[in-house]
Amino acid sequence: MPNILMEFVNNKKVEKKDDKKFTTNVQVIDYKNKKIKN
Amino acid sequence: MISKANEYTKELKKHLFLKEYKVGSKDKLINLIKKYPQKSNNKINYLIAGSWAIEFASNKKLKHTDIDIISLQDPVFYVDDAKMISEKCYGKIPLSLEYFIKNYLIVKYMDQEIYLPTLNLQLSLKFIGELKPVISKRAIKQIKLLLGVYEKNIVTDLNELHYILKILLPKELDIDLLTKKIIKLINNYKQKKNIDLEIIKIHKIINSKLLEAFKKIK
Repeated sequence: MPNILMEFVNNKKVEKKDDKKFTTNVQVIDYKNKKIKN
Repeated sequence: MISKANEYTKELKKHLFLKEYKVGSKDKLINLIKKYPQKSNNKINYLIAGSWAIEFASNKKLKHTDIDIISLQDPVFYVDDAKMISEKCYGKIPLSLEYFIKNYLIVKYMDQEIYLPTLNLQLSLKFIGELKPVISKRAIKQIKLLLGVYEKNIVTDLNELHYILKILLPKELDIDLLTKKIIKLINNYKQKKNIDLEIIKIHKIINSKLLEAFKKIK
């Protein structure tokens, strides 16, 4: 990602605060055992 | 507003610029993971992002021009070892640390776990990071590899995708509509319908607004 983009998204963040709460979403890919776990 | 990286992030950056390794090389990446484990004391220290993350997630070998990492410290920082100015990045990511702690992808590779950003974040950064009028063939290929991973029963979290786009993109964009378009792209990939064209269209929507926003801040 170019630096200029990072600069932009950070400038934008100053404009508004996001207080979103997150649920856990961790997924595992195991190609050796051909398993996908959620 | 400039945020300073914390000491751990600075150490990671220093390691990424060691001269004995080639830019973007696997040797450098392996050495980094050995010296700085991605997880310690039950805490994830950093995620591997960019093309290396796509290679790990898709299990397909790719050419790499750099190593990208997301240091999960306060503040969360994006760091890479790119030589080209257009790709070089060292800066705070405004997505919250709580988001990163709760949302990530683990790939089991050679008896160890590799920690990566979620597919939604990887896909979004691929679209956003291509700051040019027409998306490159290389980026289209990488996006298609990511779309292929969604096919393996990875759950698509709409709320997460919406949060990423809302934080990272200009407010002039209709984020609800864009989220729907990207979800449609993920679903259409499963049916193999006009994928390249859809990728080009979504990139164009994002980039036209990003370029307009840059003109305003310059």
